[in-house]
Amino acid sequence: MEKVVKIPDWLKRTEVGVCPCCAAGRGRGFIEKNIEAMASFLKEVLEPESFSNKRGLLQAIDPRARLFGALLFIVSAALLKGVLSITGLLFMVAAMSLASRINVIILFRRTLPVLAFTLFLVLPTMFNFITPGAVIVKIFSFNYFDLYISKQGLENISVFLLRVAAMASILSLFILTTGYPDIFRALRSFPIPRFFITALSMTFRYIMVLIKVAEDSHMARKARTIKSLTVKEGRGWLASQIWLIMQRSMEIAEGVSLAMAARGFTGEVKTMSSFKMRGRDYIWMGFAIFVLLLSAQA
Amino acid sequence: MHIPDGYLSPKTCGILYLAMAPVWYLAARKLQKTLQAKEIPTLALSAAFTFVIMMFNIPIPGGTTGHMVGAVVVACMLGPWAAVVAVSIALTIQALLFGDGGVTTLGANSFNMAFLMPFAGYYVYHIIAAGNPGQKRKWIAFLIAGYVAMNIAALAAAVELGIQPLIASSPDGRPLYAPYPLSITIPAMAASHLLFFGLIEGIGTAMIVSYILKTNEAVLYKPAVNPLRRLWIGLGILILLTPLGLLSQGTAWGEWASKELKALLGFIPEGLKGLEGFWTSLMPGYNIPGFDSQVKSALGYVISAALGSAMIVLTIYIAGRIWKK
Amino acid sequence: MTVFNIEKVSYHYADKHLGLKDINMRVEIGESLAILGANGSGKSTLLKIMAGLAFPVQGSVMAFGKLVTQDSLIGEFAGFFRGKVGFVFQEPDVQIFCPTVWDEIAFGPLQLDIPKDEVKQRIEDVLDMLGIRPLKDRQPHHLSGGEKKKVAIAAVLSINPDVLLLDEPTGGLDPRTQVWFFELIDELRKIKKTIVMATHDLSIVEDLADRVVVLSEEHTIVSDGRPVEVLRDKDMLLKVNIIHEHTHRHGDITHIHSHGPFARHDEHEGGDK
Repeated sequence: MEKVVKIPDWLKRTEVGVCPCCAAGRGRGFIEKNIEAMASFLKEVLEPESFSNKRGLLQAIDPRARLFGALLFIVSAALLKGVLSITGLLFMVAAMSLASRINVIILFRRTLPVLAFTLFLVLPTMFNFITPGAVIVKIFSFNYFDLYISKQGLENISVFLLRVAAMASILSLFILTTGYPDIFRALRSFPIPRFFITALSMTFRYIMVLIKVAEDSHMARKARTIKSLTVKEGRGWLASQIWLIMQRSMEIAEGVSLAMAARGFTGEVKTMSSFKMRGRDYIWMGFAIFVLLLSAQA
Repeated sequence: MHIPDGYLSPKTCGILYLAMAPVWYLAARKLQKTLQAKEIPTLALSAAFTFVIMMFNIPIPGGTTGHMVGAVVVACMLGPWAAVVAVSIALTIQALLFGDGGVTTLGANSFNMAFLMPFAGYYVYHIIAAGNPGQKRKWIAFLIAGYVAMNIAALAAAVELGIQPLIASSPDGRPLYAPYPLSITIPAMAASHLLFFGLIEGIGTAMIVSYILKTNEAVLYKPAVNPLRRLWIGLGILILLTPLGLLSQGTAWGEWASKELKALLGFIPEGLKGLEGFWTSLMPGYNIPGFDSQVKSALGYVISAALGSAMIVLTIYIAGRIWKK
Repeated sequence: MTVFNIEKVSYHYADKHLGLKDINMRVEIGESLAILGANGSGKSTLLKIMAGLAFPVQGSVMAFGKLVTQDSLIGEFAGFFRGKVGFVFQEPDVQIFCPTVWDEIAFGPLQLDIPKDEVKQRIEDVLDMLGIRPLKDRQPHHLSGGEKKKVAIAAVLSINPDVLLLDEPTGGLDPRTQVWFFELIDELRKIKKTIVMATHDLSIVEDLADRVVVLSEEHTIVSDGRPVEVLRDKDMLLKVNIIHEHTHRHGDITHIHSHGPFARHDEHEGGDK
């Protein structure tokens, strides 16, 4: 019997057992960081899909009207100037969220990153060395140097933070109540070039494919990592992975253009919409315009 | 680098969207001609790829990691116009679907990262890598291109943020949007980008594109017109137009609200230093004062501008010849 | 009637690599043809040339009596051709580029300017025909490999092409989906669709093809005829790397036999059956 595969001696050595080193945790190298980033990305991408199917206020509105309203509310938030008015808007957003069967906590969780970042950024303005004024909370007093939190400082950061929160949560609410395909369909009704929107939805489609490629290669590398890579080795490997992803992108682009041509595409994308505007959609849009006009004068 | 919603006043957002409109239009026109039927898939996949790059952590000496934008990589691979669209699409997806960067500030973020960055990186690369450079010079060219481009984008962002207290405050002087003035935003952004993010971008760009060139030289974007020639022409126009800047400064601007004037003159020239004369010449309402007194100073202006540019160019040329490798 | 008439076609890749050499063959209307060849033999390229997605550097391709070139595939002829010839790619990901399955199936008919009401009807019909109604609003990243394949085929069928070109259709399919595919092709043969499949899967040739063309690793045609006859020529099949030979033992008896990647054992030599 002729052997086709000749197995080398070292491969025949099989030792099953527990690794003595496993107890200590190793530092989080960039490979782990990237894997984490991709995993959390995928989780975030898939989150809206559970909410867009619920029977709630926003879900019942035509996606195009929904987007229109959301954009107007965001601009309204941008125009408001006072703590009270922005808080009022936030309450409205919370109410809409509840009416759409989305827990306000979930909305808050999605806006937390930008809020935390903003808070960290503007914290110093709360103090008198940036914004002097009436004393609210005195921190300490040393000779002629006072450190306290001023009323104006507090007001300033409140307005800023509330505004950032309002704008981020309105957008989040829109995303959570609208599935990705509908977002792209809704955009078509806006004065944006068609090819751009087609490119946009196609980009999203293939981000998912490329992430999978990146994930697999990172996992495979991690599985083979015995000791941490030096910075130079790490960069070399990462460069090769990015090149791999680039090649894959180019292959896919070539294939997609052939596939589009094969099905009759000649340069102008032709689409079909199944949206129908109803009374409630117009009411919604009217309400958004009303809020915008109010905010413009506030 | 992504500016979130709420940091910029509606006026600033509007102006930057308007500024990007012609850029986007031009990019679309050019790409339609060069890519034709392949346009949509190529742009979509480039944007997808840019998006994925933005997610990665890049390790730099010292053990830290950080994110890069990748605009210069795309500009060198596909040309600056394709980079405009690819990065814009990636930013749009990030803003719209993932709340990374704002939707109102999409114009501003695109201006910084999808316009300034790719073009700056592209031209810096071509200046440093002019002639027939070897591997080492190319690597350094990519490094510097990424570094400079990132810092230019950061400077623009710093200016956009820094003028907010100036142009959008409540009647009692309270800043309504990003609260820090230029005196804080510029040093802060400069420090973080000169010392960290610029390095990440530079090293990341150099590492990625060098690797690609090792395996496949043909992949790099070959410009149809020598980019340096474009730069010469642009420079020539600027030199000719700078005297107009002088002229408009001498006139009375009574009709303009001082806030808007500060806004327009304050950030546009700083963000685009070289284009100073060009932009101010676009101002409507031309009051042309007595020519004669201005002619001499205008002439002096042109001569000094020409001398200055000539010196810079001479330096680069000499450096290029000495540094043939 | 001859659907495709391919004469003296040769093809080079961008890097001057040889793709096809001196190909001469015809495809008749209503027949089911298998293009058999090992990986790299050029069968995908040949299929793409038939589909007007790649163009030969030498020779000519005639489809429906008209010359197919980069210049001729414009305007009315392009619309006609694209509506008559459907191409199913080896990799479903490349041809599923729309946000949902529904959009994907709608894409082809819409580009061919078929009225919207009829498009809607076709989508419904195709969904039912292929048993993928539950997938209607799914996004591509939520589809399994087999589902993607079905959607890819659905997206091509909605154009109602007379000719179906399929590149490695059974690659990576799970057994149940493979069975489904075989049944589908059978049905399509019954309604007189012209089918061309590029494959290295011998079972396709045996069960689904009226005729088979064999490509060698030198990128030329070495055999063209009915499956029964072509598959009998073991030496040829071995030479073009479609089948391999190996020996194994049952106790004292040594068997030498050959089989392809998916085919069954066909004979035992040197022992009992």
